Amino acid sequence: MNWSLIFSNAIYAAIGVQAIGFALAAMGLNIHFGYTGLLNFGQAGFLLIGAYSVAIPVTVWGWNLFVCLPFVVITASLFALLLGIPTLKLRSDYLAIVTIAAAEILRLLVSTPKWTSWSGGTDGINSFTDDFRNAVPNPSAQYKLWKQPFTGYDLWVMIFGWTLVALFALLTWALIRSPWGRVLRSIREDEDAARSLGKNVFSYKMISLVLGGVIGAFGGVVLAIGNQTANPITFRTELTFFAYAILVLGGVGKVKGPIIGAMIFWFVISFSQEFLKNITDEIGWRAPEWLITANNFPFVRFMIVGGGLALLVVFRPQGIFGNRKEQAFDVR
Amino acid sequence: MTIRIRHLLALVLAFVALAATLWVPAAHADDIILKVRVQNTAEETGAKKQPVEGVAVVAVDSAGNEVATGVTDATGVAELVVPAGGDYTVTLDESTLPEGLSAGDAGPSRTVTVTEGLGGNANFNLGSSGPEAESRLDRLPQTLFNGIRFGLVIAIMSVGLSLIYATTGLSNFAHAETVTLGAVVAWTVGTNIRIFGGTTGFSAFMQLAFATVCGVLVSMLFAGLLETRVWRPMRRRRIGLTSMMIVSIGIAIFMRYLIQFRFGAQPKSFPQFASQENWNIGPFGATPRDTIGMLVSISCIGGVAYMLMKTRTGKAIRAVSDNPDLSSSTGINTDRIILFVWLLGGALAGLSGVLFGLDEQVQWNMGSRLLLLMFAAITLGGLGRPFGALVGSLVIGLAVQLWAWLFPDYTDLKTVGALAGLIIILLVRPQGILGSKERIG
Repeated sequence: MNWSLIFSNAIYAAIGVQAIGFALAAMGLNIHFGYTGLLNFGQAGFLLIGAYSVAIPVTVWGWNLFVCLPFVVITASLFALLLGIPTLKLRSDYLAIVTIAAAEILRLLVSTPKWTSWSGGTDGINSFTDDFRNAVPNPSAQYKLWKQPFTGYDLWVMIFGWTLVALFALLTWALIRSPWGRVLRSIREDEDAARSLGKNVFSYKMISLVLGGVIGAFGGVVLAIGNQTANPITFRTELTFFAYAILVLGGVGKVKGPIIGAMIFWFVISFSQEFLKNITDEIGWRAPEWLITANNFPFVRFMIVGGGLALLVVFRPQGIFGNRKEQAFDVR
Repeated sequence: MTIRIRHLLALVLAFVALAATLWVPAAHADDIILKVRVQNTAEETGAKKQPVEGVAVVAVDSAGNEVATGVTDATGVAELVVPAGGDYTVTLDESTLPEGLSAGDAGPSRTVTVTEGLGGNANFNLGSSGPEAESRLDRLPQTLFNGIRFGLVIAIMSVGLSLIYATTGLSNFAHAETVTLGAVVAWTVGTNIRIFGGTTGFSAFMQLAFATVCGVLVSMLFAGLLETRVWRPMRRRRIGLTSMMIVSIGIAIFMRYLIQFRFGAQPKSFPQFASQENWNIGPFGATPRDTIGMLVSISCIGGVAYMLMKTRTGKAIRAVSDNPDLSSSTGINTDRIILFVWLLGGALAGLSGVLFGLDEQVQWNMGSRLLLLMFAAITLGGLGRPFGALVGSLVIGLAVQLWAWLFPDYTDLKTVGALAGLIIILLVRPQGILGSKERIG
């Protein structure tokens, strides 16, 4: 058992591309669910929009990758409007069903083999990151975090990603403190009360949906640039559920909640994965075959996520940082 | 923090018991069988696959040695005995294929992993090499028939989901895993615990019936345990519905990967029923398996409808779904009614899992792949309306099949058609087909 390798892997995972992407996804959800009480189950769709809004213009129309970043804001906002207009006036379960369905429609549309020249089908789009590679100073330099090696490219993706996280966290913090944010939270607590004060609940909800969607879309951008692929497998419905797990873990309705939540989430995922890999491989002590094998250990981490999510909501719904009094759980 | 430790312990025990069901060791066969199945998908006589007889197949091991040969029998199956587990390449002799058929898009070779004890499967779906024999209009009745058949399976899945929603307000994501659990347990029991010896005809049917009963019972037990150990204590603590929904997502993910952990990622089919001859009635074609499945679905739905409309329990269920407080003050034992609904929903989910597994294949994510269609069905029909689930399911089933009929080049997008239809209908009539207006606001 190589403990130092397991731990350095896990620490790298906690600050790496996956953690950043999921932190942004959960920050977007925090605006939807944590502050406004919107039950968005289609966050994976927003991430997909983000990833493909970079990958398709670069490969199909030859745009510069950095020009695509404002384009992401436009496409994600359009998607949010498309989702919001029919559903925001209805009860929250309808928004949940429609968003989950819309995200799945998007995923099926980009996976279909009919339009591979556009979306790459199930293989996704793989060669669109050259602009980013050329823009950073030393993409092929080798670094080490304890025992975990990574390249200069990875380093700059992390710098880019954490800058986005910091900017969006600052924006969220400022907005939630403003009068606008107070109206948002009052909608979460009692929609009718907010309406009786003359607030246009629909437009507040819509702006919240757009804002959280755009933040989530940038999570997709980071995942796509960091993994150097935009692939439909990444954006399954489970991504949304993992983002919820992260949000609940960190604390719903707290600015730092989703960020710390994502770091802990990926630390635990990577740690359990590497640990189980170690006890099922050929070297050293091995777990008995009837219990766990080298073929089925990768599924255990998802069991941890699912079981952990259920137990957290039951026993510590406020997460690590949340405030029990301000619990955003019961949307109508 | 007053959830009782007793509940937690019981829950853990329940999960252990469920996990143990999945732990049944694979039966050890003396011969390692690589089963090759050749089917004709080109002739759309019933959109069902037809077995192809007399095709020569050969298996080559990873070192390039020819280890076994065979010819398919009347059921389109050739069983090749291979010396050990490992990867084998199975190739069709294309010169032995019937006229007008080709090896299809995937080519005449497959690489198959064979495990000792479980064997391996290679499936060949032949395509047409000539021009399309049948016009599209001729296939319409069969498409509608298949749509109704698929809709009925979705209906018995989603009736439980809908009743649970109506009585407790919970959108239960773990319902998908209740479906999968029924199918997986039935498959495991059916292949490993042989009570009826034969592999054909009546005894095969009885074996399947026995396996189905086991699957249904386990699904029912799972749903019942969730209600008594998780949802009821949470309701007592007045935990909100959104929290409960997220808990159900957690349980769903846990169970889905527990099933994958034990059952594996490969899809498996019920061997003795994999291919059957069609019965052709007028323009429709259906295998005996499909016909029995459809009769079972219809009688289940009829039974549930009768129960809801005519019996005391049914009346109580409808009362609880209208107003739980009022119904409990008129002397209805709400908890018992809700438990009954969970058990019923679980049993129907398990049964529909087996039916769907017979129709297609048993796989760890079969339930979660269908969950969205179930939600779409109950939303379409009107959330919380049990008959809405039936109507919505039939619409969804027909929409999926008609999409494949209208756009044969885009069959992989057939779910998109159904889901997009859902969004459009919500725009026009948000309360669903049978819903009433006050429920949406």
